[in-house]
Amino acid sequence: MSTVIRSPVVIGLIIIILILAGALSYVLSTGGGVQYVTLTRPVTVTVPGAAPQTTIPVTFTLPITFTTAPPTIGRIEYVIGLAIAVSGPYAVDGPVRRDAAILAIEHINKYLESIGSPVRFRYVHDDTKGTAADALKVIENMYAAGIRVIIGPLSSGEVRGVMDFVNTNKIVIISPSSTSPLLAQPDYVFRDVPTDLFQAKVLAKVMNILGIKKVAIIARGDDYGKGLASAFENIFTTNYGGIVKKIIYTYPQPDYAAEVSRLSSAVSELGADQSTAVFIIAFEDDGLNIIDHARLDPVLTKVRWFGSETLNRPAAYTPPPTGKASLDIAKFLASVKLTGVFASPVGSPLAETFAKEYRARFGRDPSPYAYFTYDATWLAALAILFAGKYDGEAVAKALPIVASHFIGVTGYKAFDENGDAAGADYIIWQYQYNGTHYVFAQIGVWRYPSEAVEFFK
Amino acid sequence: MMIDISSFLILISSIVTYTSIYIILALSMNLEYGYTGVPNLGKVMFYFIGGIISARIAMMILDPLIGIKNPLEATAATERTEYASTHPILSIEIFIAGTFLSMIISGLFGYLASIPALALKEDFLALTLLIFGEAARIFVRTYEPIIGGVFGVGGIPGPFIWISDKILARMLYAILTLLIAIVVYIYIDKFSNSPLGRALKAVRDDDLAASVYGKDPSRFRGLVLFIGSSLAGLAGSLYVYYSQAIFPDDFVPALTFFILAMVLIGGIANNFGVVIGAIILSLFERFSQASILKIFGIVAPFDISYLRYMILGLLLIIILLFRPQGLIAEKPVKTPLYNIIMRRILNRNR
Amino acid sequence: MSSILVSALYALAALGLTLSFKVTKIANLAHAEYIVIGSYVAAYLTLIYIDPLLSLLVSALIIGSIAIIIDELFYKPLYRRGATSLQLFVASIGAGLFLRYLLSIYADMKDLLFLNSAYSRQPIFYLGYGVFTNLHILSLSTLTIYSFVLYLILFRTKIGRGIRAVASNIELAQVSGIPVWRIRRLTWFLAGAAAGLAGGLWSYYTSVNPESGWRLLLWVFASSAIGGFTSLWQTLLGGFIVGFSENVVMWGLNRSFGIDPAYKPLIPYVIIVFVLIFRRKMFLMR
Repeated sequence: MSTVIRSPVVIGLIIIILILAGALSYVLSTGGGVQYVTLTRPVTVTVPGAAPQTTIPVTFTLPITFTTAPPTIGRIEYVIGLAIAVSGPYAVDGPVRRDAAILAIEHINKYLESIGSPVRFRYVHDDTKGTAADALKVIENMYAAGIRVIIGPLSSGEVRGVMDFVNTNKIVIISPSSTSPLLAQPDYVFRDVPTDLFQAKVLAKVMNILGIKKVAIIARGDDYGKGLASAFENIFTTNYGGIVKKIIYTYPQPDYAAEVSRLSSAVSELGADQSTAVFIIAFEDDGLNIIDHARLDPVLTKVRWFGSETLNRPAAYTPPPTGKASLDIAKFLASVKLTGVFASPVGSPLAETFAKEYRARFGRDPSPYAYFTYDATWLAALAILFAGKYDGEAVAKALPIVASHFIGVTGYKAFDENGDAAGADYIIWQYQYNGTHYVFAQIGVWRYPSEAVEFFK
Repeated sequence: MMIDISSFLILISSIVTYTSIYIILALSMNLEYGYTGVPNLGKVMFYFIGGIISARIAMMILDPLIGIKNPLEATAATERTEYASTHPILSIEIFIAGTFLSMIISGLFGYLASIPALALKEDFLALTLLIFGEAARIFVRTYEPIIGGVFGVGGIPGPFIWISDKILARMLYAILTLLIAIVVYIYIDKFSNSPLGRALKAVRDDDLAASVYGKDPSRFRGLVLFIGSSLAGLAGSLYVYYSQAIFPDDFVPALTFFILAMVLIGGIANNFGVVIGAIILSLFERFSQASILKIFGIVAPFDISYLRYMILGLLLIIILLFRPQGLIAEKPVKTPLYNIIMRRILNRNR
Repeated sequence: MSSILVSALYALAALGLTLSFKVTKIANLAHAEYIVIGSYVAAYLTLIYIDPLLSLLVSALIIGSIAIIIDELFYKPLYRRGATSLQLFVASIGAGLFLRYLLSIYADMKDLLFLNSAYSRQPIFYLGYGVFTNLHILSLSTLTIYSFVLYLILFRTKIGRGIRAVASNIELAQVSGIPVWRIRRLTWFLAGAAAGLAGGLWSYYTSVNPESGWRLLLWVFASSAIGGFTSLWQTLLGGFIVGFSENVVMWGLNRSFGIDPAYKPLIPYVIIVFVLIFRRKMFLMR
């Protein structure tokens, strides 16, 4: 056997032995959590009459129990993991959502400090790159670091990738933005955002009330876009007898001009009139690209536009000073009356305060999902406090209780039996020019659970 | 330092499993590029094919048994997992069938890819294979019937899914992948330290001269791409049975570059070096994540993720500049005859 | 209609890529990063109210310099040590990663993770389903001017002849006393300038983020491939072929075969494969 073969085999055997040793100690340690330690102390014994004093070593055997988290006196610290992607498909919005979670923890710590509580929260953030494999690695690492409560991951695909692991190992994860209805089942995965079915339902009803009968959808080709588009198509055609044309574009691409011209011909086929609308499901970079092409298209400027909640982002779609969009885009969006919905209580002072503090702290506006991330973090912290201990199982039981008595910046957060948001009020927003600025104005509300729609004057 | 044993074991199992998978991939890359001079930058495609076959096998066997109508739903994944947990023999069968079929089919694709690739200059060859890989990924990502397109599929059962102690299951799987990696290493080592290995190097260094000596370069390249891709398929299979799900977006060209870095850093045409390279980079990847650093109490004031890629890029360049032959240099091909002769020479000098 | 604009940009970037490959024999994957840095520079300058034309020029100058720096730091030393073209290719991957994530860090810190320039596209006339804008004029003229300047340099100046000499046979050029290193620097400057211009124009067209360069690169590579990575004329043509195939071919495929347009990104791949088959002479070993 040549030496070249021997060495890695030796290394492999050493690793196996290490693993077995670890297994052995694990098995022993779970056998009661009690181990025996031998201490040796010298004891001085004075023998009356004898001249020299002899010291005899005496051994004691003491039982010592090992705990995983030795309590530090005066301060209890809990760690919340943030498995939030900040690269790849989330290069733009990921950091915004992560910062909302950070803000939540800062707020909570501030309150805890002000009431003299010994509890503080800390966070650890890692980038899941928006893929399932990396999300799994991140969750594994966090688990090894002792973290049992995690905010994230962001996308439905990532959640699917980590579901098995978190359920087996009793890790609570709260995703603020994975909306696929396909993930609904009772487990350790909680979602504080209603699924696509909800948004689709609300939007379909709103469109129907506004007299829309034909819709051309242009949607991102990822789990979010496809999911929402299908859900909407389903509900709109079944409940309201409408006609839908769907255009799904592959993301990411440098340019979507071709898709926009297809959209244009689709709208022409449907008839470019008052009863036809465009429904765009996109994030900021693709959304801006599509809208910028659409504004130069004579057909697309003639119909009304509706957007998913991700379109409600002043920083991206309004012109300076509130945002970075061009005036051309602003005029276009106002003229096509871009409308959409967003799960948040109407005129909520909580939401306004959040937006203001976020802006002050980070110098930019929170995106729609940042609101959900903020609430998710609050729910996590409250559940830990309520459970009184940092244990996955306990926190998972505490979460629904806490959630059903919680109102966040996105409204009611009660969970259904699957641990997903049971429902919410939805604001109906519209892009408008109010004489001085271009804003996302609130023009109405859809109430849960009555499903009544009310427009403001 | 606050860790509890069970999560520590999970972490170690995870690191060992991933490293073993990387070792297999790196060895296959070394065989293709290090020994034969074929830069297979499309390696991730064969890795992906392996994963796809394994996932499809599992689905094709399990879904009819359970009666799943919509294979993409999360409930379908849970059902598969539960069913497989109660049928241990079936899970093991799925694993074996999936792994073998992955190896064969990936190997076939590798051989097919070798045909147009044979005539191209090395950097264009690299580019072509890279492009094939990306094209395949985009295709699978769009065409849903294969593995659910961009949604992916979950609930692919691993061979130890029936073990109730999940930590033990993970550790066993880690040991299994490690053993497989060792077997692959022994095989590749024997393969390359033989007259065949010498022929490959000849083809790499000067294929015109090699063909003069009767060694047909295209036959060798075809053979090597078959074996290399087959191993990549094996790695893909192991990966899918570990993460128990498959998503197209996990199989990007960046992974190929990562493997290439392992080969370059470890040492071209040196299998032991490549293994070291794989271990180094795998550990680097794991330990440069914020959550791991926290175990050791290191917390950075900014987002580390970007820095990691920057370092990887710099590392590639620095290695190429200062030690292009890698950490451990290429050694002569040690065929059995060579060993005998060397021993005789040494004995005579004593 | 947008095809014309996009084609011009692909052609422009591809000219730079082909030029750098012809002379240095390096397939420079970092060209993508040159493009996106150019986008950021130009967009940023327009946002502080600098005239778009001037921004483009500044962007070209800056990227040209960056290209030279990267070469001096990374490629040239490797080349002098006798690195193979594959190793240089891998080095370009490393350089690209380094630049892209350096940009990402900067963008994240300054909240510029996606960036819009202040350039306003205005329609000039409509034609069927398409619209011709002022950006069309700007892009086409930039392409024309750059190509013309390139032509003048390459075919009407002494140093241009030197470039062509180095491109065809570097050892002979060196032996003939041609200042090879100076030529190399000039080549990189011109290639970088092309990337800077293309990137800047791209930022006028749509919003950019640190990953934009990498996404564009595929189409640019396809354009260069059509030109066989050696012929500049054919590369220019290639840009237009690629740009038009994006829309026209996809549209045609959709109408005749009902192929879902979501497969559009596969088009450049198919193009590259076709080119490699039919232009095999260019890419064969020896």
